[in-house]
Amino acid sequence: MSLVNSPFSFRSFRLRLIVFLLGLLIPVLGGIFYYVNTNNTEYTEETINTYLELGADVFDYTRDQQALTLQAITNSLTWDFGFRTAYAANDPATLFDAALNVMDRSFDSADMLLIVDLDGQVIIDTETQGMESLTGSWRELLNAADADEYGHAEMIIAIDGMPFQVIALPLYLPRQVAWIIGGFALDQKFVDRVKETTLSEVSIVKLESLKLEPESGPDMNALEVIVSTLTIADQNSLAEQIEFTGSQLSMLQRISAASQDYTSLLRRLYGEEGAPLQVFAIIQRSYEENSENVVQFRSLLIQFYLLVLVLSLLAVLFLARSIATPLLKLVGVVKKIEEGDYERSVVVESRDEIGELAESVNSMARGLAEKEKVRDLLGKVVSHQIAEQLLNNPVELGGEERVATILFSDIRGFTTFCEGLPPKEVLKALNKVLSTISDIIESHQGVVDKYNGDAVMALFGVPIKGEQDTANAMRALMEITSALENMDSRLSACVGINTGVVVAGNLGSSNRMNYSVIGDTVNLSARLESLTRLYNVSNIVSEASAIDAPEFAYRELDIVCVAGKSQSVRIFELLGIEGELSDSTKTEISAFSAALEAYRAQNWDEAEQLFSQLQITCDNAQLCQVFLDRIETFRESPPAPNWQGEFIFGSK
Amino acid sequence: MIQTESNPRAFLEMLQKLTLVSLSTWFLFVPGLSAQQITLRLIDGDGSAVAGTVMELLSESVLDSTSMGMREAQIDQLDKEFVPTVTTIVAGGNASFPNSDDILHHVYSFSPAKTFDTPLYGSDADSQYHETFDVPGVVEIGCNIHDWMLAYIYVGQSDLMAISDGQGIATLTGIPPGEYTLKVWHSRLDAPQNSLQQVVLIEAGGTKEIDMTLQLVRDRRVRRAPSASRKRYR
Repeated sequence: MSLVNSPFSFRSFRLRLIVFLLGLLIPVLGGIFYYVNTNNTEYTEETINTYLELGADVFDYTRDQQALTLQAITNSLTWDFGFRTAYAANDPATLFDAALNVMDRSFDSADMLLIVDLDGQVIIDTETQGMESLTGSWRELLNAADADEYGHAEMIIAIDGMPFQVIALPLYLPRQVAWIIGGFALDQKFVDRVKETTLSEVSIVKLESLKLEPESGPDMNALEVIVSTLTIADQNSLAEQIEFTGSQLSMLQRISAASQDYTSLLRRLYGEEGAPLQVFAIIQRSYEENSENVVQFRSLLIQFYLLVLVLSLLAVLFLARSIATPLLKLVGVVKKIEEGDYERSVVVESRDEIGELAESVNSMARGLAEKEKVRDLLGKVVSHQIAEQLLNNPVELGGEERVATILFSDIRGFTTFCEGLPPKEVLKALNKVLSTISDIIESHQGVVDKYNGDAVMALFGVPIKGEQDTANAMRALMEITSALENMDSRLSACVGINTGVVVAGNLGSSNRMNYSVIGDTVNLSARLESLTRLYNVSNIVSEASAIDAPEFAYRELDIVCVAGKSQSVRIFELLGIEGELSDSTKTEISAFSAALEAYRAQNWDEAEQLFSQLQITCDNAQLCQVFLDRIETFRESPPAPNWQGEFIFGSK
Repeated sequence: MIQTESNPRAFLEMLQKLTLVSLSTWFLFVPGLSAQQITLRLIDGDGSAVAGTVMELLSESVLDSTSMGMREAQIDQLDKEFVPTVTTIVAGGNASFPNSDDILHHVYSFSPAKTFDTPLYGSDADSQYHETFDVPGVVEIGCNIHDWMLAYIYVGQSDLMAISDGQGIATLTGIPPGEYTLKVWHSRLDAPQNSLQQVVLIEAGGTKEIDMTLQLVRDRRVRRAPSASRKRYR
């Protein structure tokens, strides 16, 4: 029961099972959930990244395809004889019209055409930028083309802030005489087309660094979304959040836009890092759209877990019930058994351990009932103390030497009492008397050893040693005496008590035995009881007993030498409790003592005189007569010279 | 010239023709003239021999274009190439453009020295197309069908012209002694009008040998049409 205060001790089996289940299930389910969710999220992010990379690739591919178309168209133009003729005619206006015509025929693959001579002097420019000769990026383009084996170069160049994919090709007549530069705008139309293919959002932004104070202070970068498939609100979020620093450029960036989150990937289209004008393409993919599956899966998983938990709880409750119900039944029965009710039995249908337990409890109850019955019966047959001794100790033959006080009680006058009564009544009366005696003995911690007719043998100090075994025997003696006198005037008790070493133990055969004591002490005790008739006293106690219970008052009766015993024994009559005796009794005791002294001193005349006087005054005339008779005998044949006053009884 | 390298047969034929022309020239001048000779040895920046270079000797006194030959030239169209790729012709001379291929060609020029274009014609054309080149200068001719076909007609002021061979050597013999302006032209020569000039003195009976290193600009190639179609239409 010390576990009651521990946090892991449970008052109910059901609670224990539930806690156990939850303790087992929740970490497992939690672990699985964590693992699956993490992997799924990772996978989704990987998927988004893959889509984004794919989107960027498609962006590039679309751009490349359109550039190829542009190249094809521009290339065809360079070999067009009519165009050559027009070029040879050296008339820019005609050439301009021819260029517009080509653009018109290009199905939007070419948005601009620029023709420059080999020195970079602009001949025509459909974008009418007003350049006389090429500068900056255009010059770079020509240099790149010039360095190429076939005179071919492409680039992205911003015209009025709008990025154009441009291509430069030589114009042969039949030797190269000029450069033709064709271009198409990376405009709304373009990003819409990319979005159609990739299902990703595409934006093209330009980053202009406004150097307010050169060489000092950070660059002020002005970001402007040129074209985008995003909504205006999302475009603004994009412009606010996107990062263009070196490390961020190649990484995926997450943009929390007005409508939803986007994962973004940057592609540099124009301008080196740190250049005054940089143009980027931003491919974006909605995070929510892609993680929809994850969210759905997660909620499915949670629903499934709840179902598993509920089902498991129900299963546990059922299990707990199936175990606890019969257990509680058993507990009830066991409690009843504890209270002494062995009649209840448990009905458990199951054949499992609980069934076995119930069966065991039932048989235990039967066993206990039987034992109780035996104990009860034993208590009736033998005394309670011996019954306990028998029931609680291994029953074995043999014994031990113990000091005990043995009480023999007999009923004087019982035969007279029974005269004229039918046997049944005799037995009833006997049982009543014996019950009374037995109750008295037991009430003084004595043990009734056996009944022999109307005689009772009782033990004090065995099997259980007490503090005042002999005194208890004395008290029992007095009570028995008075009880019998009170019961019927015709009845009186005669009791012998002796104290000494006895052999105590179970006597008999291995099949049938009883706890008892044997030895000289027992025999003497019985002899003392039988001597009461001779001395006409209600009791005789041995000297050993009298010494052992000094709080009582005795009268020395005699020194006797019983049959079979060489040792003579001083015997006494118990008169009452020391200090409670009446004066007359005290006088009588002292008178008897004086007479006895004269008798032992062989002053026969004096003894005779004293006993004779006492015989008249005292109640017990027979006692005095016993001594008077002996005096007569001793006068005729005096005792041996070493006579101490003992009287030898020839036989029992 | 690269085209000839990629086409050994055309190159060989060109060499044969060149030899024939130089031999006939030699025989022509041997009887009447003494052995004044000028030899030009041409290499490029890498030390490789430069073929297809035109050497022209200009002289105040000899500047009588009508007096000498080289008034007729023929530029064949063989296996979709012009053969030869460099031709010299004295101003006022004619050049014809026979078609030896079994497909049609369309020869044109937008060069200021001579702008012309022929209709599409084949090898069975009765009349061989020819043009008269009156203005000295370089005429670049192409075919409007085959973008890669390119040939140069050097219209010279004098008839003292020679074209360097595969060893980068151009030789003129039987030159009257005197002071000349030596003009060297190459289609890729890094100089104004792709030409260089210097004064040379030819002494009687003297032999002049000049080594020149020409700075050439990089050649820009034009892709030839795929060979599959060539097989099909030959």
